Amino acid sequence: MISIIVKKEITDLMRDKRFWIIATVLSLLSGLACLTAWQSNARTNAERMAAQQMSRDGWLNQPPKNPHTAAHFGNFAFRLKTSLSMFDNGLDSYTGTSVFLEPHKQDDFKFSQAEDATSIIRFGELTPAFVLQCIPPLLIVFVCFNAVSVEKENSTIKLLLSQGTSVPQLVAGKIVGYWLVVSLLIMPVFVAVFLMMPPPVHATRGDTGVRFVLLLVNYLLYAGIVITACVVVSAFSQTSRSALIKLLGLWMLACVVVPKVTSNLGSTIYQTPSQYAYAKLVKHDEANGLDGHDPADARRAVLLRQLLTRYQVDTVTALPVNFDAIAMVESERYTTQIYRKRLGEVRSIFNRQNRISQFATFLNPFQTVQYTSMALCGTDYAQFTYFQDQAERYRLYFVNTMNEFMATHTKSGDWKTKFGQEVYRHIRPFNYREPAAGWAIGQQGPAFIALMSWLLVCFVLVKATKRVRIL
Amino acid sequence: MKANSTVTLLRFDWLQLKRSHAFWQLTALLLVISGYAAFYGRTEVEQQQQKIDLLKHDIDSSMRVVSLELQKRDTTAAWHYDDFLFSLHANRPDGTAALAFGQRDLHKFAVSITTGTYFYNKYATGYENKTLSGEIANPQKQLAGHLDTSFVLVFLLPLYFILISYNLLSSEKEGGTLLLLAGQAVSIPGFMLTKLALRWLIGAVLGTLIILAAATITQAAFDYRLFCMVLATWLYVGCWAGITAVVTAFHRSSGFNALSLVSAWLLFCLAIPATLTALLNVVYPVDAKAQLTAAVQKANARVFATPKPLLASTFYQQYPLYNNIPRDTFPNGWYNPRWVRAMHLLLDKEVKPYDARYHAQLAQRIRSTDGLDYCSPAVLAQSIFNRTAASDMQQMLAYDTATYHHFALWRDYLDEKIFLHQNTLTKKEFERLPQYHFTPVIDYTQINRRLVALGLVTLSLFASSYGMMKRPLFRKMI
Repeated sequence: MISIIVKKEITDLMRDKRFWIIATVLSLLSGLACLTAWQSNARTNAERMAAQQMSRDGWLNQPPKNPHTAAHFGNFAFRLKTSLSMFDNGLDSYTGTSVFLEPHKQDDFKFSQAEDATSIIRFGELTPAFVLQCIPPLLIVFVCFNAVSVEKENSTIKLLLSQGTSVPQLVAGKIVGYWLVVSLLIMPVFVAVFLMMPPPVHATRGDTGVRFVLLLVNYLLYAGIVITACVVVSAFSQTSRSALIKLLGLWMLACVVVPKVTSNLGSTIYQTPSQYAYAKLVKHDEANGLDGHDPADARRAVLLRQLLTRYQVDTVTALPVNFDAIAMVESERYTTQIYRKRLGEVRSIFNRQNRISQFATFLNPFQTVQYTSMALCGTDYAQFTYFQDQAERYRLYFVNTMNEFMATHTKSGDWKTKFGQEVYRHIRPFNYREPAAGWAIGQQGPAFIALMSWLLVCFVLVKATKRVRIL
Repeated sequence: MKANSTVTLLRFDWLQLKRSHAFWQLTALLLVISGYAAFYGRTEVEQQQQKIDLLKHDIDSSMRVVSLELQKRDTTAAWHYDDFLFSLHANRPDGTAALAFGQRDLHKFAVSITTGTYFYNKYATGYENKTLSGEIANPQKQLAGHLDTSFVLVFLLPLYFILISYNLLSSEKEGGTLLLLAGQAVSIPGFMLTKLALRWLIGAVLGTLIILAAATITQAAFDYRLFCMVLATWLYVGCWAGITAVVTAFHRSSGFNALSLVSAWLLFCLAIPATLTALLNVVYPVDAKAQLTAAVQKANARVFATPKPLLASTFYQQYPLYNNIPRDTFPNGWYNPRWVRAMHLLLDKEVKPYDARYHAQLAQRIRSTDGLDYCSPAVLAQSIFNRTAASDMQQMLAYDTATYHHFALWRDYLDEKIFLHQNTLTKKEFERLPQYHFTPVIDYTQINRRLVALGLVTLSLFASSYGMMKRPLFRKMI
């Protein structure tokens, strides 16, 4: 019986003019989104790769210098876009594009694309993800609002039920029918993205394919959840008009109001520190030590004593190594701990701010798909911090390599001996490696659990339709 | 239609609306969200003000120390190894900004002006002055945007309007009363416009109340800016009334009207702006950024590595005004203020053209995108709110430019003391340290132009709907 209902729904939908109009709009917008995202992705990556190369060339072509001074030339780490960011840009426009890596300090990411944009950016950016998150739910509302209610209004439901069908079966059949048709609209978008998707520009774990398939499943499930909600609301509504108003209200709340409220609530409750306050704390820690009772001079004196004992000499000049360079290596380790602590505090505030939205994924499927989609495309906050951490590790690596070279190849007080490209070449270029899909999913655990919970809710909702009153 | 009938119709329509639970529920929901929006805007403004105050407090303390020192001795150093002379440069948000927070969260708003290299601190390291590099912000929150009063007015008020007006004529038709009405001495277009006028009035009054309540909560000044916002709201609601009139003129079912109006909302509030953003990124990329980063890095390395005698001759060639010590080669390393200042000046001078290019591209982009505001009434309304609240991109750019001017004033004043007065600053000179306050200049011409555009769009929509309803086909449909 269900299969007959499915076939009937598909035929009805294919004959529905509204469906074709919306399908055309959806296709046009998706096509435009794919084209612009592809163009923008390609240009941005080309520009950033060129800038990364420029930075590398600058590093290698420095005139001979003392290794620590050479480290001060610094390196930039540019954040290249992932292949799937063409599908979902996520936070990429807001996270900054590059960070300057230099001795002694950890810099911030600069040059976010949003900084250069006019206020129009706050309306959203046209990406395939944006189109698939916002338009299909409305399309589904348009075609499903009277799925069951019209049968009630025309009294055809009694005929259907007299054939031995139960309301849950009827509802399930309609859901499957609509879902198959809507899936047919979603699939071409993914085919287009698959064909246009650029190859990865940085090292991956070879799981872009897995991410892509999961992304497709994610959106198909999202469509299924929305369809179920619409058909169930239609079943419980006495008239099509009341079903439509309820569904439009739900759509507005889910797609427009709740995401903003939850996100804004987070920042209202947990205040972000100012850049100045953050810098002040770091400066204070550097001067007084992490515990506030370990001043920089004292740390340096302890290190000197340890080295003199280790090499069994009495003076700095008698050391076989450059004490200044060793002190800088130690200082770098110490300041890294400071930055880790302070940055950790900022991240913890951000995570608390984001947690409200993350848990709202259990209430709002729109937010569920937003989070899961960003995670799979590598454009969420967790993967931004993953990049930030890799850039920081690279900073430590190149700065300490240069300091250690200076420590072992010069003597204390020697800041004049210079080394050239032979030393600069020791430093390998910065290469970012994307995290594994499993890690990315784990970081957005609540959202993926919410997605699964929504499926369960759908089954419960369909079962609950046996309570629908047929007058 | 006679005036009496109009009043009767209005009264009857209002009675019907008053009896509708959905109407009051929707109104209550909108008011609750508006209350939260005002509270959110006030919190955001307060948080920025607190951050500015913290910086101001520390700057004042530092300057008080110098002032006390100058009570004891008449002079102090104009440049010290550790900076200790500062000036605050802030883009302080006011109560009106709380109504439309705009782009304020994407840009810095409190800078500590001091000597040093401006561009290296701003674009690369922030080693000496982190306040120049930008504010700490949660990207997830930035992506979500603000639920401030302007969001309620631009996004939610039209939805509210749609929900109370989608069935102006269709409900009469579906209830079988339209033919009865047509038999009375009432013209159907007039009837529809009367009903629409009542809903416009409800929307406009509600919008005005929302703005006034928010302004009271956020302590915004009740001035011309607020009037512009109220006027924009009236016209914007008028625009949606016009769209509703056009859809109603098709004389289809309530379902069709609701779907068409929500589609129009989706088109104007999401699809068109999002498409424009995507196209802008393609057509007007800001590609000078990469060059800027490379230029900053190279200039710093080059200047820093230049041997002192060579640096001295290059510097004095470019800044002959400061060449008051014959054959100066900047001895004594970091503790020689002339050497440090010379390096910073040369570095900034070298990077300035790249910065100018980046800013020119940005300004060009903004200029070119100005016209795009007119593509959608929602973008137009948002643009009016942001411009009025001085939280649009132009103001952010103006603040950025003003920051550099403040820095340049400060730098030139102190450099004159460093180079020409043996690095001494007297008490009198300390008291005359240049101060610069950033005050946003609101471009009312642009705002008025947009208000007129909104008005024209509204008028043309009403004219079209009236034309459609006067056609014989419409009468036939009834």
